[in-house]
Amino acid sequence: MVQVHIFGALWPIPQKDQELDLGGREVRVRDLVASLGIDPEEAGIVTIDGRQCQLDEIVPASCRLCIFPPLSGG
Amino acid sequence: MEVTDEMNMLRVDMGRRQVSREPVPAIYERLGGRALIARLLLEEVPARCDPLGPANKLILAPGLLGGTFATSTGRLSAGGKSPLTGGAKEANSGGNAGGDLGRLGIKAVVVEGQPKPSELYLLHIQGEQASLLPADDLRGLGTYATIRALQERFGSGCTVVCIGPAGEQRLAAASIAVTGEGKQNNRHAARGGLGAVMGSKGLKAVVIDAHGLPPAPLADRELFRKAAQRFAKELIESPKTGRKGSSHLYGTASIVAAVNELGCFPTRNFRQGRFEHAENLRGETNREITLARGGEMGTRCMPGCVIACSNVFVDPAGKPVVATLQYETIGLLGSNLGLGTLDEVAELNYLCNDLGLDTIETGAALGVAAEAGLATFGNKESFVALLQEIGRLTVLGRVLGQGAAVTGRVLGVTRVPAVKGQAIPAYDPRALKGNGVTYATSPMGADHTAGNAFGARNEVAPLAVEGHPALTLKLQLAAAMLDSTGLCLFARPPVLADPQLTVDLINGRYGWGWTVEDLDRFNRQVLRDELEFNRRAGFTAADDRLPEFMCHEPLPPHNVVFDVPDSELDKAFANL
Repeated sequence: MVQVHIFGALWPIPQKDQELDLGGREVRVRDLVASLGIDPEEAGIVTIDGRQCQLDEIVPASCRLCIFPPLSGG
Repeated sequence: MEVTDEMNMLRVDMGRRQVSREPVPAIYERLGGRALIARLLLEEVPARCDPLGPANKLILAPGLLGGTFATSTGRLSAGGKSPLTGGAKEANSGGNAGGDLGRLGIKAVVVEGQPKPSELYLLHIQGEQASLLPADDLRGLGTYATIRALQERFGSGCTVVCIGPAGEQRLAAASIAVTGEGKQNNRHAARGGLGAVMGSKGLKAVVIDAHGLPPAPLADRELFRKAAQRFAKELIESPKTGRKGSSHLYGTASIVAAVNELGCFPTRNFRQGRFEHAENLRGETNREITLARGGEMGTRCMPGCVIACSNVFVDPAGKPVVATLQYETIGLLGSNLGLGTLDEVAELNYLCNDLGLDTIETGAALGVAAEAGLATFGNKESFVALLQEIGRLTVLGRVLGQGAAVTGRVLGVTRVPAVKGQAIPAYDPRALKGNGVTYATSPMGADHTAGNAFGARNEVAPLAVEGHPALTLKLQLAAAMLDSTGLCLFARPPVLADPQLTVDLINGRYGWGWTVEDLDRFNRQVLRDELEFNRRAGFTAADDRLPEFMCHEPLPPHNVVFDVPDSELDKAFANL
């Protein structure tokens, strides 16, 4: 199962925290983000198990995936 | 048409107690902010001088765009030889001072020499007039009381730049406080101990009255207007900086969750990279608490800023505690001390502000002190007690007030998060290696604003070992440009995406006919000047290293060390 956590209230996502079963499919980060109603190009930082990832990476079947809005460090 | 440069420099001779205006020397004409500081240090300050002695200078300078009506261009640069690092230092602050000096046509206030040891003054600048006045009645006052007293005396519309007791006592962690718009009345040019330099000059405060003055003159009003409009539009429409963006909604603390998830949130003197109470310290939590209690989110620190990322944090009774509660403070005075509520962080923030202390440096010093057993991680009162030691100027307080490196040396702690004597900010470099490269190589010492790699997703991954020299040079050049033009770091997306925008703003202001290549040369020269000053001050490549423990001690949760090879660090400026 993929534990998904979405941060930032500006996104109209009803469930900020949810679990997804990829059902053995090979799913890219980009496609998973899009399936949640978020434009992947508007996503800021995306992490898999705490590691910043690229949109074209494959999502592991079991992981923690966090999606943050665009952010600026000071 | 080139604008007749109506700007001048204010020279303040503290030994003779004389203030004079002089035309801007040709070597400084096309410089501002950090660029001006770097060049002036090279030209006028012996690199090996005592930072708290008469030969050092304190420079207060707006950026090249300070005083104009372009949004987010009013940052103030404070500079000098740092008593913390021993090298070139520029510390940057929001607030009103940068814009005010720009509108007054003051390229820089240069404070030189020293008065007799017991003397204390304030500098009052009003229009064309500037005078030194006795400030004995302000001696020992915290920054809040100082600001109140001076705004009562000179008018609430005046801007105050001042030091607290820490600066008066020349503590190396001392900051310079700057008033801003509305309730943002206690901003800080915090890093590098410039508050101590100001104290060593016997200068308690600078009061600036630019009330009613128009914006700075423009060489090409139409060019500037179009560029300024485009700049503002892009900021307003950006998902990062617009009204629905994280910066505006949640402030700089909007990044707490991401930094914690990435495992680089400093926790208990940099022992872990993830804090179990990080959720309570997030920007989202700050927004929820602050608005529920009647505080303010999304406020400006300087007039005209369209991002408005500041806040007024209030206590449960709705009384203002601190404006503004920021990410770095939440990291170094929060998770780094094991403190898991914003109320606790705000209380320590207020105490640091009032004493006139850099919250990053002080938070790191307190973390080191806790490691030595003088306080307990997670116990706020134990840290309040240490801050009170600084306030009472006890021997321990004086040690703590000298920053993390001295605190570690005195207390026998080797796990000291500092580079070139300056404390590491709230991104642990073991899990954000790009920042580690900046901390190690920047002439400023450990300074995240000198080149922050957070969020640089498409360039170098946070845990990657390769690719850093090119990234750090790019980031450090960008920071040099921002710090020299008066642009706020958070307003960088449009100007970094299109350098022509900054060129248009500069040409609109001055009529210099710059190109993007000229801007690039300008940015590179800032770093060259600082590196040269530091070289003359005795710095070598051996100083461009992270603390040893970070190279050997794995940081949970990723269990990583800083392993970017020294050979890569030494290449940081190979293409400068």
